[in-house]
Amino acid sequence: MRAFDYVDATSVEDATTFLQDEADSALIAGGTELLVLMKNKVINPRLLINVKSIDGLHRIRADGEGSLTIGSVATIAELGSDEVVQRSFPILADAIRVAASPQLRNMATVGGNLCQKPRCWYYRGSFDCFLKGARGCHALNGQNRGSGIFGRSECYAVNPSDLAPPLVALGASVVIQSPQGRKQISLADFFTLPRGELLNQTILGRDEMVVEVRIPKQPHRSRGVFLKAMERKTWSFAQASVAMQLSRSDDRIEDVRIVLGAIAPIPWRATAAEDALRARALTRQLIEVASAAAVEGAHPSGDNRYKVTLVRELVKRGLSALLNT
Amino acid sequence: MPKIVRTRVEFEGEVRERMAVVVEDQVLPWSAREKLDIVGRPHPRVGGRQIVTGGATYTADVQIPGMLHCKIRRSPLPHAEVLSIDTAEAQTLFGVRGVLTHANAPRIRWFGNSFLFDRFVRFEGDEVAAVAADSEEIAEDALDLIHVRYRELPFVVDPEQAMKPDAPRVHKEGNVIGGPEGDVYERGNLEEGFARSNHVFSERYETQAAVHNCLEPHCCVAMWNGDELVLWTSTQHAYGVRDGVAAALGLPLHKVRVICEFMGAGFGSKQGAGKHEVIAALLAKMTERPVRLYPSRREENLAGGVRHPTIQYLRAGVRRDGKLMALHLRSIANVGAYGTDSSEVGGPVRELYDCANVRTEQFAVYTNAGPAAAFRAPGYVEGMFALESMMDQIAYSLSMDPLQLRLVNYARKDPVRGATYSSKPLDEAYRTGAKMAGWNLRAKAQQMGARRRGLGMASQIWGGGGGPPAYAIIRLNSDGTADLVTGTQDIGTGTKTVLVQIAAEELGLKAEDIRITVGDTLAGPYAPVSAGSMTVPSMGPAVRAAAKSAREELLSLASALMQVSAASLSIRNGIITSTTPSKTVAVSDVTRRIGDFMIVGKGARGPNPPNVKVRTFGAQFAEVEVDVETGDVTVTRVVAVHDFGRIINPLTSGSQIEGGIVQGIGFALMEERFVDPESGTSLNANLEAYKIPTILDIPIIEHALIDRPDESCNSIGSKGAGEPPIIPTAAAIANAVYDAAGVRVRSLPITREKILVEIGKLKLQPKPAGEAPGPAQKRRRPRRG
Repeated sequence: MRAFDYVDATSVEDATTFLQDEADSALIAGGTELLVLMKNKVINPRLLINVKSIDGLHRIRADGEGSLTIGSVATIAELGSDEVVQRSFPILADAIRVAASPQLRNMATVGGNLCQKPRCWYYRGSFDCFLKGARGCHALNGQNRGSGIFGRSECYAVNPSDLAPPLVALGASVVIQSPQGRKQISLADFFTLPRGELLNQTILGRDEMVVEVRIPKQPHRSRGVFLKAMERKTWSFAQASVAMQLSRSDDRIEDVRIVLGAIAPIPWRATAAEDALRARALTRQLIEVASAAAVEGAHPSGDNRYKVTLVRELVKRGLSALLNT
Repeated sequence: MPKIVRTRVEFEGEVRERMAVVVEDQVLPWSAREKLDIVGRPHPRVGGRQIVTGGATYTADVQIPGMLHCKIRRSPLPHAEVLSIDTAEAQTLFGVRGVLTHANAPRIRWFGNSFLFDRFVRFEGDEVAAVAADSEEIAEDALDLIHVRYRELPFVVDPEQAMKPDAPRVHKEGNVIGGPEGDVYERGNLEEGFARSNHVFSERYETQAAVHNCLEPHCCVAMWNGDELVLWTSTQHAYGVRDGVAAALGLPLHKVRVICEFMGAGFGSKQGAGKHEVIAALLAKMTERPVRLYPSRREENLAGGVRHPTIQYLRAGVRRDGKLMALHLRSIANVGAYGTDSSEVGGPVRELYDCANVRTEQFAVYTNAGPAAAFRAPGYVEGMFALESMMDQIAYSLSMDPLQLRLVNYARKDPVRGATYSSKPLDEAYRTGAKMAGWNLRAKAQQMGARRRGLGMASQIWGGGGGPPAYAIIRLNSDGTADLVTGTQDIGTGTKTVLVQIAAEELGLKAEDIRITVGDTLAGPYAPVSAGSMTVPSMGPAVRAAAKSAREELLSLASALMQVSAASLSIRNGIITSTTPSKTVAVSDVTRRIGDFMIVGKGARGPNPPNVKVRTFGAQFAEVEVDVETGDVTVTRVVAVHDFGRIINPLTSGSQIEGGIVQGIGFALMEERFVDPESGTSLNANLEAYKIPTILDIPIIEHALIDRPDESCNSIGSKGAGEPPIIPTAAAIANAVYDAAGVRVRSLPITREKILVEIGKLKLQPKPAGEAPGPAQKRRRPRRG
């Protein structure tokens, strides 16, 4: 690990000013992601800006009317044990329960989770690749069992976040701050396919930081499911996951979001499946149609073919679980 | 009078003849009816409290004033010539005390014709240079300041590619160890056997490179006391390290002392001196400071060894009634850049079943992958997976009960040499296991939606008889306590506990009144490597003989003091009792009377019995649940029945069974080192991407022990328990997966990907008329072969 300087930020303004002033810097909160990248020399920042020292940034606030504001350095464990999350956004609590390990959840933060880098073995190893500013993708012809089946750009690595799919399914947004000011965008728009000059899976600029995540009030009778497939029973990133949130009126599906995890560089909206479901009554037959639609257009590259089957089954199971609720 | 005899010692499937010096006065074996107080009963682990409270001194805990830290610069390339190494910049870094490369290290031969620091690097992770510095961090920083120029060479990581004549050569002498013929064994007439078969099955099996992942890496601390080297190291063989390091450094044996008091496992990967120990010793000499070397998990996974990945082509001929007529195995083991050919992949095919016509051709092939090392029952775990998968396939194909097929081919005598077994309760293990597992009820299809439940079984055969040389010394202190001193090591299995129990039993002392010393070549006499499941059957009899000798001396003194004949005396719980006349005296009273005149008992392991084959046996039954839509496999239960002869301590033997099965589940379902074919480098040398089982992956493990002394094998009647429990696990799980889902995965690990691919193939097959549709109907078994 390269030697680095370390400062405690006292405010968000303070942190973003440091980001602006020192181009070779990185924010640190839980450190579960950043320190590993530094130890493996994937990134070597000169300055670490601690944002856990910012007053109030870990707070989770319910407005009493069904929406929730989560400070970006709230730990994943804190979020998972929040009563509002458990009551109103159970898919998020379910995702947290199977995310990483208790030790990691105690350290890792919500903002860090959304900004984490892909787990691609080549990116994390000593290979030059697109995400590191070089050309090409080693996973394409190499070991690609973990690679994406949707949203291919110049990089085939999937977004590993367990929190992103349920948050996108819940219609969450993020508040981003830079020295120029604050903005709020939908979390779905926060993620982007790496391409061209953008060597990242988010739109977050150099001097910007995630300040808050906001989850809106869900419609009446909204129900959700989160399912995750791993290589072992726990403490693993997803091979594929699905988060879905669905509301009905007179038995017809009104609002539906199906978000697939670990199969694209971003949390992937299964829009064809959503379209198939919208304004219809959920039936076994419709579930078959929608789960088939969820994998329409998938283009696996080799060892990741199983993900097509897996995603279809997960969507089918998720919808089936909602059939009688 | 001692005499010299020849004795046969089995080690990891290989038979070696050894000279043994034995004393004529042999200790008679404890009989099955012998009433024993301490042996055979659960005894808490000696040092257990220290281990779980952090009080045990492992190698990493050794702290010496002035100690430096060593880090090793390793090759980033799978194959290259080192053209130059510039260490000038590294030398100037503040806190760097010494840098070692081929330029300033003695030319020490290592692994055949190569050197400690060789001009050629043969895998990603090969040692190029080493730095000793004030801290680990400085040493690590210094590594980046060493500038190495390489000439890249063509490399090969696939063993079948490496066998081709035009493949890049890993070593000058060629890639196939022992020449292109391989290691051939043959009995009977193979072609005749196949000709007389009603069915011939032919399959390809693959097993993966699994990393040992010892909790404690290959670490050491080297310190010079004048011209004597003291080496704390994590090893399975303190004496082996002493001999290897002494040879490398040109030192006489009495100038090297090796210490390993507590150890965090080896699983076969720490059987002798390693480069790291010699490097630490050289840097300690150069800097005149103690040097500690502690590899990272990444280094450990790159260079610490892996189980040989294998490719196995197995052909089996059977008669209609299930009798095996011919078995032909061609196995290829990828030993990486510096592995050895010790992996007996053909062992199970040669010796598990009564089959007259057998041929095994074992190939051990060098590649530019990280080196293979013996790993808990090397060869047998891999070979058993292929053989027992094949047996299962044959059984289903002939509509036979898989267990019945095994009994049809049961070998009463050792099929290799025709020798009788010292004991072979395998049939009993089958029966007991079948009963515990509910084998006869398995035919009832169990389906819960997409989840299918299945039961599979596999057999275990392995050595574990141990043998000489192995020694122990017992000294009685004046207060009636005793010091048991051996040169063995407790690699985490509970050796100390078991040996204390044996000494206490024979000596008649309480176990807590005996202190055991292990892992110090200065203190204890020679002891063999803790590998090949041989520690207890080698050391146990030596300890018992030493205890017997001390007891006899003690009793002859007691008889003089008590004025009774020694023959009428016995010792229990530290009390010496005379039957006629009825008298008692405490051991401590006797020892106190003689004061500092010490009773010293010396014991040696006697020779192995001639003309009998000593083997351990067992059977495991695995129950799994397969989700045929998502490919999830859950092991829900494993039943294990093993024969290790007499059980000294049911707690420690139970731990061996549970540990073996846990490791077996990892091997069966998830563990695999990936080497990138394009770059020849390792992709998952960490514990995030390389998956080992978590506690949630571990099912209920039920085990039973035959626990019958094998009276002809040695004086304690015990055989080794370390390796047998991992041997059948993967095969049993693979067979259970077939029973559950109707898919046979012949390549380990059995991942979701492979399950879904196989189920996808099933779906493509036309549905037989009159049967319910579905990917894996219980009764629709594909017929193969």
